[in-house]
Amino acid sequence: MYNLSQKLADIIHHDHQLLPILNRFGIRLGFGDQSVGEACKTHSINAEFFIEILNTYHDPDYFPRDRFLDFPLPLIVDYLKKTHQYYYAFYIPEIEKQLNELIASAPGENILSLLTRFYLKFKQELHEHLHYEDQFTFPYVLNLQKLYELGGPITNPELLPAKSIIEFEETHSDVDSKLLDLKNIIIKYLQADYNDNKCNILLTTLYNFEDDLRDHSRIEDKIMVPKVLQIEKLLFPS
Amino acid sequence: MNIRILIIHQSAIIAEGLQRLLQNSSLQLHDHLRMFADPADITIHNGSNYIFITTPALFQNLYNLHLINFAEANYRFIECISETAIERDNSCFEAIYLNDTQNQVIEKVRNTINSFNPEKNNAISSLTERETEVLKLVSLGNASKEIADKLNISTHTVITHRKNITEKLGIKSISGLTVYAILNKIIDTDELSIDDLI
Ligand SMILES: [Fe+2]
Ligand SMILES: [Fe+2]
Repeated sequence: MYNLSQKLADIIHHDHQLLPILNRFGIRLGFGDQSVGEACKTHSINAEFFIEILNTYHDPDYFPRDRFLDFPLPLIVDYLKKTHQYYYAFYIPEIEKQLNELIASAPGENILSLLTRFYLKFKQELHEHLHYEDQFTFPYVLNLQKLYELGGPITNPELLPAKSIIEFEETHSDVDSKLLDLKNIIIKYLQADYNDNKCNILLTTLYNFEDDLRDHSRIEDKIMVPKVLQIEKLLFPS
Repeated sequence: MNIRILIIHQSAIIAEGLQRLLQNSSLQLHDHLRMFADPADITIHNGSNYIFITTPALFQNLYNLHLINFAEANYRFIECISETAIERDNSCFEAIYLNDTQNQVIEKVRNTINSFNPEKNNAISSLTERETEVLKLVSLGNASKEIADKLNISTHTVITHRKNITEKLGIKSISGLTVYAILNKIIDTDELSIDDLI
């Protein structure tokens, strides 16, 4: 497990997959010999939260639920939103680009266009999911937090929400399984005359995206939703 | 094979020792093997297979913490070196003792790994004729109920076939299965527009 006194550079040398996490918190390269704690101070980042995010991202089996539940909702939502922005700006267009390059590397292989169709379907579903969370789920969560800070329970019926967080956050499994399917189709079943290196690059990106998405969904399902449920119970007993 | 092996023990010497010993074995565990001191720091992923190497008390603790996920996970428990008198817990699959040799420990873990679907590990996972039929109908957009009617079997049987297909192929989504069916010429795309299928 990484800790606050370790040098940020050493951590990146040890696991470079953590680079996008740094960006999400606004840390850019060129941090010299700064420790994690020092870097967090420079960038006004909640260091405890940052190190837990690093550790859980680094080790998919590590997830200190109780410690996460102690962090305030706005902090968690902010991180989730930044992650969405990263998907929009990087992973989603990048995979499409790499897929197109793969297809361009094998002009005669019509079969590869099946992958594009499949990917576009996945992309559409993912877009819908992310968009819904950005437009409805996250604002609802932040609004609820504000109400909570005013003190509860709420008696004014006009303030009662139309639905609970449970209805906002439906299952993540559809999106996750499509990504896994795409990987398996390429690895196990695709026999076409394409450029190997281009295919490897695409697969690496798919693996990384899958890990990132899994970590993201886990924070939504296991931290955000239970925290909101708790507040809902306090604010709207009945 | 998708198996995660988690060593959970308060004793750093035992946990580190076990990890070292298994890591340097022919089991080729790589990063399937992890070590923890506190069950509360663990996450259980749906659909993964787990081997927990731990004490009965910690196992109970882990189980209570992750009740919901345990319902969907496939797991085995290997008892390992309790702080109290060594007593084989009857819910454990194997038991590792302090004076076991490296080979004994490795064999116990190997047995446990092999206990996950032994017959499926060896068999070539090709689809049966019936499964291919079901796959074809799924790819063409039929729901389980419709497939049951067409093949004159129960919906329950169709669902079982679908589960087996997904397990064998490693493909879960309907559009993924359709891609597979087209790639393997199970459905004929000359007569159908791919646009309608995926
Ligand atoms: Fe999200
Ligand atoms: Fe989500």
